[in-house]
Amino acid sequence: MPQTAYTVTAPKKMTKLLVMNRGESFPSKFSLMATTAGDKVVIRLSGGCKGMNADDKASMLRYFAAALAGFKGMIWSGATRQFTEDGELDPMVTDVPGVIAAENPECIALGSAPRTDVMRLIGESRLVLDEYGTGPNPSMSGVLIVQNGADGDMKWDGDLDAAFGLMSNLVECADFRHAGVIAWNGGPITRDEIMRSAMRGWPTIVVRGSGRVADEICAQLDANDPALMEQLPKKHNLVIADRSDPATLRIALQGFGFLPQAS
Amino acid sequence: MYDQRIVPRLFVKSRGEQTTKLSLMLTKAPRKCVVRLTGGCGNMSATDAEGLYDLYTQALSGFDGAIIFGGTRMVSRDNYDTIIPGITEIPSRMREFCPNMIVLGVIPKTEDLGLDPDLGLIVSSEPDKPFVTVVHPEQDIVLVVQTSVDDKEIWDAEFYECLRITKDLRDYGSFSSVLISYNGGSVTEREILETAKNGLPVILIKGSGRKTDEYAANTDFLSTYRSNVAVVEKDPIDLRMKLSEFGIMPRQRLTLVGHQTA
Repeated sequence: MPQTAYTVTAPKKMTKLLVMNRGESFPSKFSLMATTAGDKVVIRLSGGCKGMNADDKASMLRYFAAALAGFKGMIWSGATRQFTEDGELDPMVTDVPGVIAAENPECIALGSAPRTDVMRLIGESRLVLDEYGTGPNPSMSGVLIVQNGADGDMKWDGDLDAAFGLMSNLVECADFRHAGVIAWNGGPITRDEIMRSAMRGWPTIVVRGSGRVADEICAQLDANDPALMEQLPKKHNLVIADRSDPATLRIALQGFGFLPQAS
Repeated sequence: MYDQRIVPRLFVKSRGEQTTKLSLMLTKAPRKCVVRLTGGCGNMSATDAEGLYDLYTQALSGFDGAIIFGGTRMVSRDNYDTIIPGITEIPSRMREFCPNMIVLGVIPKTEDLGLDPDLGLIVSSEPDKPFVTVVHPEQDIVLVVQTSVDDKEIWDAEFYECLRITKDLRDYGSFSSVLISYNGGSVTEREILETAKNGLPVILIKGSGRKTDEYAANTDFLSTYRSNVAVVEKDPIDLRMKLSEFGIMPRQRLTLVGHQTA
């Protein structure tokens, strides 16, 4: 059977799908999946691809693949995949974890998403998350959908409490050495994720040149903008990598202990 | 006396709730395996109890996975320093030989819990019985399972919760597992059957008494579950070899110094 954008490419050709209600305790099954990573570190990839053309998106995937070569931890992001009208893959930041896991066998890719609409089955019983055909990302080993009860809908930031709660628990309860965020492009929700991470003192890397909020934060950091700096702890770990060179991201990740130091 | 450095973390779970923190804490064990200890000590003398402890401490010496047990300790009502022997004393006896293991106790709340200034958290205290059951002080994590804040739980809730935790660790955390059954009554019987039906590894210790012995001699049962149920002699070498086969202990040849068959 030929591979399409709908093909499940996660290890074992299966993506496990869990649904939790907001306010409930986090599902232990999903937490345990994170612990199967070869290295006890977790990175949340935040952002978007607004304003990027197809070449930019392909370049983005290559950028992260180069920067994260050898990564053995858990990497996750939003859990969605976008498709073109022809059913082709329209790559987003949410496709990066699957690419990293595919190239680094001990790495595990997971994702979370709020249920913003009624889930639907279309075509040959394919599950989609909204009327636009957004699907759960089939390159991830596990997808967590956070919902506001069976009837309620949520906004796009509805999964962030659960997402950051899991990362905190991995550090506090499962001996994960580091949790952190990489931000690429993005809008207000990405800013929220950057600040949630940075305010905890976690390693937080924004990619300069990727666009929108990531670039705004870089500019604020460069200018030592009080509007940003006053929100950060004195010894914060909010740093900048450069879009033009994946080595800058790699060096930052090595410095924070997410990747082994270069020999 | 117990090691003062170990302060058990106490979790209380109502039906339908998750146990994320607890599950994650079990993954701190260096080896991804979980051993569930079940059974009882009915008709067992104090001498037999010492043999029981030797069996487990020798067979599991160096174990560095997770242990799940009943989580309680029984002490004499007349003298709180007198510990009643039982399966639930095995993990604390193992600690010296297994410093890296993680120990979880699972306790069903079958009556309202009590606090005693000398005994800590009391699980059960029936005036007509010569012992008081308390939360065992020598474990890493304690999980009390309850139907709800107001409602009592049944004893079977312990093994159902242990089975659920074990299955999650296997299915989502890449753990191996085994249930070791020694002696025991009707609750132990149901745990043996439920675990076997779920296709999870079970070791029955022959000669330990009561229900475990019944099933160790039940050829129909053993035939039905021959792929996941094994019988071993009451002998640490035999038990250790079977644990190795199930991936719980590393495969290596060991000589047990001063070992005598129980």
